[in-house]
Amino acid sequence: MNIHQKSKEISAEEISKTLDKFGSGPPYHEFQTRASRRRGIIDDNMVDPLSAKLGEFDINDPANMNGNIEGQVESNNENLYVPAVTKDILESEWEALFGTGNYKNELRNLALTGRLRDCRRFRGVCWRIFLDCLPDDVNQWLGTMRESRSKYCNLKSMFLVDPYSSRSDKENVQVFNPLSQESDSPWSQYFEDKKLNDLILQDLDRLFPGMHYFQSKKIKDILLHILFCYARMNPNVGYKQGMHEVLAPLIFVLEYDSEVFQFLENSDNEVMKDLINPEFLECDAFCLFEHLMDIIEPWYTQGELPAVSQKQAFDASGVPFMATQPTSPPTAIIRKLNKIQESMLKKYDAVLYSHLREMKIEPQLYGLRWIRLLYGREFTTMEDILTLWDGLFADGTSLDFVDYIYLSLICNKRRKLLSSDHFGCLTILMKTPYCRRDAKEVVLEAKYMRDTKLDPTRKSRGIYQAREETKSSVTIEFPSQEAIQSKISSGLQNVLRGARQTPSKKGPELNSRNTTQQKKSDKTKERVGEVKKRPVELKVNNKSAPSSHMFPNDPDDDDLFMTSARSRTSSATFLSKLSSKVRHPTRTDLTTLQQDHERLQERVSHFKAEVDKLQSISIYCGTKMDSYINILQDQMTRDEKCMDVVYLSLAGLKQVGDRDIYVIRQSLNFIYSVAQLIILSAAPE
Amino acid sequence: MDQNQNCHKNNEFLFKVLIIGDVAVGKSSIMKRFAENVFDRKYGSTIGVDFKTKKLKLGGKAVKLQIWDTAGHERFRSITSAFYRGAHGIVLVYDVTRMETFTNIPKWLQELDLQDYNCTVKILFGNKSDLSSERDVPRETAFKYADSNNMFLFETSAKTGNSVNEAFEHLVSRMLVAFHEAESTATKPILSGDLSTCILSEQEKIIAGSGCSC
Repeated sequence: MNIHQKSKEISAEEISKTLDKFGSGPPYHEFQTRASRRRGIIDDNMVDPLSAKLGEFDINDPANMNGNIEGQVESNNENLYVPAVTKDILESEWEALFGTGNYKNELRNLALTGRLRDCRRFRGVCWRIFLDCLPDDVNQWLGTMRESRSKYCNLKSMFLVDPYSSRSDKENVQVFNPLSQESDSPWSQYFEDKKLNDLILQDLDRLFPGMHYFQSKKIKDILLHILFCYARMNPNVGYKQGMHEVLAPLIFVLEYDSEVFQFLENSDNEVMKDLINPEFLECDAFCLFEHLMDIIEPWYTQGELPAVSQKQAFDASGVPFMATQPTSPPTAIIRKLNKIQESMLKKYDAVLYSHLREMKIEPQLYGLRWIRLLYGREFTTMEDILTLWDGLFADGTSLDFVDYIYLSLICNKRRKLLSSDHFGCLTILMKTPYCRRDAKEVVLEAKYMRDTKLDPTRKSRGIYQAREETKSSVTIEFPSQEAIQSKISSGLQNVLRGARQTPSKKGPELNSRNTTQQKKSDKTKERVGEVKKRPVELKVNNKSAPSSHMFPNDPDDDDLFMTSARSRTSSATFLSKLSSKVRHPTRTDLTTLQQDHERLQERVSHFKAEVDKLQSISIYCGTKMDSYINILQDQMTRDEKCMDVVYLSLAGLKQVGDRDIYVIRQSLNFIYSVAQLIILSAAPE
Repeated sequence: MDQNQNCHKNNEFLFKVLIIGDVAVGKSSIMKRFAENVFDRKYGSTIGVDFKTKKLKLGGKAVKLQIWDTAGHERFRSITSAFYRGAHGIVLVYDVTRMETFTNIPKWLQELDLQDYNCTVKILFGNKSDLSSERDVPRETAFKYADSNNMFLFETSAKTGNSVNEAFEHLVSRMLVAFHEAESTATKPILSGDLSTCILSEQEKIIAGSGCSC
């Protein structure tokens, strides 16, 4: 840690020197703020461009600022700034990134694990590789870039026409006249263009309000030119709101790269020099934007007006999510959103899926913005967006990764969503920024979901392994109440011990986490093995029963149990957090204790709501089971052949159902009372 | 019918209101001003839709407004039914400093007609009224137009908050009237029929005795 601190000090001095020398372009500005923050000097007027609050957030709000610093330090502690930027360092970095034969795969790996930001000096180059702006062979890069640049220059000279300088038809007053109605008059085009220009400018004026960077004349002009040329070149797409927010981070990254160009005067690496040459910033940004738009353009096209009244269509179909389909073919983005929610989410988390369905939450209400802007508004800092895009672009040019990020985001708030009604769900889902987590975690989670191919049998391992573990403790043999309570309390103690051993909450690398999880789940598997009979019976029952709306066509779905189990784990860790607080109270500071107490009580009330919800779920579960049993019973009594065995097992099943509800309710009550006890003991005298 | 039950539960009315209009006329700002009483000059362009809720008491009736804000660019096409389904009130917004946003209002009305929502209560907002020096749409023209289309016009300013609350309260009172009308003629579906017969004096009474509570 000492070494780190030293390097911070050095960096601050070095930076101020660098700044004196070269003027303060945005990226260096960032280092300065970072360094001064670490030394405790926070200047409200200086905003780190990467961590600047985006959207509607007030960058000068101290609350935002504080939260931000914490996050920033946490997420960046592994890549503290190395101050000296020299030709040699850049060259060796370049060599390390793009020198090897297999560089593309290595870059992909870095990006998909959120580590590309550590070597982000050439992020723009990496993105150009991912989006196929550059061929695989490094030797061809120069040629390809030259080609794309001259293409853009031609476009620009073709579209950005000044009617005053257009001489072609000057003699023909009929055509060359501002009042001319001729469609090929340069003036009619000029007025059309002005409309488009104004439209784009209206959006550029409010682009990333938290970042002054995008309000500078230079950057605004670049944005305008690129968007304008793109719209003119693709008249069937044109300019659509949102494109500007897709382009902005691209320019930001390229400009960031180009900041080191000044160190490379004497470098022999012509390719590197050429690729990050600030002179070509606009051309290169266009190339990147064009390639990206090629992929995401369908998400911007708007469908035609439906011919039939939507109201009728909705009433007639009666299926909320199908409501948009009967009248007119849905647009590409609606199809995509429906696919994600209808089939992918259903496969991955059937409970959440049916909840959203019941609440009549249609994905386009919130998902449209998510996907069109590539989640550009759903994170708190620019660095998060860039990290997310690293993974997004690296995964493949189809950008299918978008779907998995979507799932990861939505599943992450599953508990909140499950306990909310229609308005509550909408409020949660439509909030900006939606996600306050580190984008790296989201990328990892999305990658995990993709790698497991949404295989429901595998989902309980890894990230969602917690479910499996506690599920077993619920489904363990269910004798007396005391036994369960002792089991839970011993489990609690385990958790507490674990919490004391690892005080740092920020998880270690995923790999190590996985191994410990693996061990845990191995243990639990043994236990599950002993008592596997009952859940199997349950499943059989589920299959034979007519499909209920709660378990739509998914025989493997025992998520209901997982739900209750999962929130029990979280409650257990919550308890551990609570008790660790109780263990070391600083009695001297009564006020903080009081604040703590209030906060805890708040959480307990939230927790109580959660428990209530789970109780109702368990009751629901019981009634469902009852109804299935009744159906079975009816069917069998009609049958001539009377099978005693079946009746016996039915009776057993009934008992199980009753027991199960009882067990879940008891254990929930127990946890709740423990929580209250802890709160009471934590209360300030 | 079905909506009737939806919008009157536990003695509380629930109304869904849409805000539509051209790009950058201040739709989001109006919503923000009304729902949270703040104005933020730096509000990014709305992509897709956004929504906020606001509770108020009007003439002794508790009303919950669910306000939906649209992207000016969207023109319903991608959002389709999910968005405007069951709307009780429509707020059409233009910018008094930009004539073309006013001349586009008929286009928006046309689009509403196509959606079979020509029966809901409509109200016209001329926003950015604080920028008097840049005014482009004359008051008289706008009021004349509103009159001829059976709409009420309020010149509002989301920036100063001028007339925003009054305009929304007027809208709510008209929606309440429409609701009761529909209830009294039970065969008619909610909020359908000719609303031009709204009794003005009654509304004014309601507005006078009202206050915003939230």
